[in-house]
Amino acid sequence: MRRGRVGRRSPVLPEDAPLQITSMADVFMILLVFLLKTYTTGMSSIVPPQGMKLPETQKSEKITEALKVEITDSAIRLDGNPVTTLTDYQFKSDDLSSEGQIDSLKRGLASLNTEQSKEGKGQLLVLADQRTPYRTLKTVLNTAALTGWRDFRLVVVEDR
Amino acid sequence: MSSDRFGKEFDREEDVSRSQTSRGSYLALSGEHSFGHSGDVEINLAPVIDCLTVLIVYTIISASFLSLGVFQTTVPSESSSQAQLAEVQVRVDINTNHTIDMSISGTEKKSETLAAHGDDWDFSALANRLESLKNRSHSLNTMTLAAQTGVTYRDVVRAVEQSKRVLPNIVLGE
Repeated sequence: MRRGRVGRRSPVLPEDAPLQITSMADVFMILLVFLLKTYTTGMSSIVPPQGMKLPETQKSEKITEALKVEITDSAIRLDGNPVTTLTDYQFKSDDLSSEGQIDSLKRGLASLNTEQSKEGKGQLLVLADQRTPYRTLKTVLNTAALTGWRDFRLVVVEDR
Repeated sequence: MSSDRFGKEFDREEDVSRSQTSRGSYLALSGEHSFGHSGDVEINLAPVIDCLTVLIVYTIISASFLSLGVFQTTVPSESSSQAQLAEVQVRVDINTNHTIDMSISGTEKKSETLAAHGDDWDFSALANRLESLKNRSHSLNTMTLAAQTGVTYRDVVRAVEQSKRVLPNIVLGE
């Protein structure tokens, strides 16, 4: 009579069976090589602030290091340092000059004047939340342009 | 004689290592390696695995998997006359009602409003219009892009992305 599946004995392993970790080491090595490759190709000191959602695009240009301006719903930061506060992406009336420029940002950018910015070719990385109104963005860009920072790089996330 | 003694020493070391493995204090790999004498050489992989684990954890934590890119733009100025030198100038306005106003000036004068595509802007139609314009006027490289107050940065970037496929220079206007 044929024995059913239930009655089949499970294989008995010897008590002192050594753990074969060669395959585990292989997997770890492949994983490490993959991670290191990803790490070196995508390495950049540009990290969006916590809570900021950058716009997603299919294709963009290569990012390079430059001075950063961050626009969030509550503040504008220049190279990580807050220069002015916002209320739901809107400026407080006393933060803007009569010409509609952000005085604190203008002062901050003027203090960081470089050779390039003196020639009107200063490069600025703009990290703005995707919900930022165009007017707020334009106010920041216009203020920066007045101090010689005219080459704007709008930072986006490539959707791969 | 001496080779026999060496063989016995080797076997004894192997026994010690095996007993340690059986107690679980060592994770060892048994491999058949020949070093002039027949016998097993056990390579202790535990520290290697430890190092790999630490490296992998460190890499995963510190790595940023966000792939960032940029779109180069500028703002209008008195000195930048590149757009004025071109025989055709283009201005695109993004409206809050999801329509796009496109005005062409210079040798070719034309104004057009691109209708909304459902509840969205028809940016692909914009790219098509720009492409046909570029085919007619090869010197055209610059476009002025503006948006109404309620339009968000996300939608401006979408317009920039589509326009950049045809025209390399985008000026963010008022």
